[in-house]
Parts: sequence; C-alpha cells; structure tokens
Amino acid sequence: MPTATLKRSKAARGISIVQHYDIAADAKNRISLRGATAKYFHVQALSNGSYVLQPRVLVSPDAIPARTLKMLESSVAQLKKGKASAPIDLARFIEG
Amino acid sequence: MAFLIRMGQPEMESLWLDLTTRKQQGKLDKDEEKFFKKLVKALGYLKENPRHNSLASHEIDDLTRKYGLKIFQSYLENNTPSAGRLFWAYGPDKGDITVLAIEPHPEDQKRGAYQRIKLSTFPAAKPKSHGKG
Repeated sequence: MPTATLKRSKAARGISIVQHYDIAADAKNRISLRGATAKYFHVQALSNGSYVLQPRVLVSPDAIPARTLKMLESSVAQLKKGKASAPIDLARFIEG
Repeated sequence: MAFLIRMGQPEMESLWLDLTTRKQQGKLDKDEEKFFKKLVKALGYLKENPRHNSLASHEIDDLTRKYGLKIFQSYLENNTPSAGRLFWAYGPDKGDITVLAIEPHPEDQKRGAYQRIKLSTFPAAKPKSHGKG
C-alpha cells in the first residue's frame, strides 16, 4: 500500500520547532516568552487569533534609512557627472 | 557669500518640485506643511552660511569615504536630529551646494513608518549545537 507524504514547503526549510508550551496571559494580557533570544519583536496579529513574533534589533538613530540612502546614491552619481537641478528660489517660500 | 542651492537628481529634484507645487496649490497636509516650513528654513540658513549654528553641519566621514566626495549632514531643527536631516555636498560648480537627500523621506512620513526607535531585521541566528550525536 503506498504511503502519502507531505512535501516540506521551501519557506519552512531550516526552521524547526524548538519549544512548544501552553501559556496564560496575566491580568494585563501579558505573556512571557521562555528562553527568548531577542529583546525586541515585530508583532503580527492574525485574523485567526494567532500572533507571529519576529525578532528585531535596535538600530542607531544616526543610521541612514535605506530609502534616504538610495536617494543619496543617485544624487551623488549625478553630481559626479556635474548634474544637479537649476538653483532653487527660496524667496517665495520664506515668510517675512 | 550666499550659495546657490541645487537639488540632486532625479529624486531630490522631483521631491522638491512636488512639495513646492503642492505648497502653491495649498495641497500640503498639516504634517507636510510643518516639514516644508522646517526644510525651507534650513535651506535658507544653508544658502547664507552652511556652518550656521542651527544647522549643526558636520561631515559624515563614512559617506565621504564611500562616495569619494565630501558629504555633510545638517539638522532641520536646531540640535534635534530626529526632526530631520539634510545631506548635502558642495558643487557641481563653485558657490553651489547640492542637496543630495533628506530624512525622513516624505513617503516614510506618509506611512507613519518613521519612528524615533527604528527596528531592523534580526541577524540570522547561529544554529545551536546540541552536543554530540
């Protein structure tokens, strides 16, 4: 008799369950994560009542966001070719 | 000596055009209006004196090394980095300053994604060894 097997999805490869337990939220709706390896998490509350926690790390506020860096890179590339916009006129926007 | 302020191409230029056009049409929302006011004030200082105290201008060595061009950062609000930053460089001609980028990016503001504490993805964890076997 043939045996049916489920193929593992690509996304699940490399991830395994290391703990599973039941837990109750306290009076303030807080739960404790046992053996958590991160201090900060991104939380996704799903429509089926599940929660997905993704670990995050803090980044210095001095770091430049990716979008700004992309803008900077394109501006620098053009500036090195001697290209920039025409001089801007600030006078009409500066309140006396 | 007053500098000529130019905008980096293409993104910074189109952003400035968008902001100024909508400002003239009275279509900026409250937050954009506030941001635009700060931006114009900072650009005014930059034009007159890039080393103006309010701007707290300083060179960002890492970016200078990366791009081989002196890149400076100025604050949009006096000594308040979180209020926004301008990135700029001298050039392309003598007496010119080109604004290369601004932060927060207006798209970030629209989505409410710019927060004082930024979180990034966690670096991949090293697999734990469970001993022999």
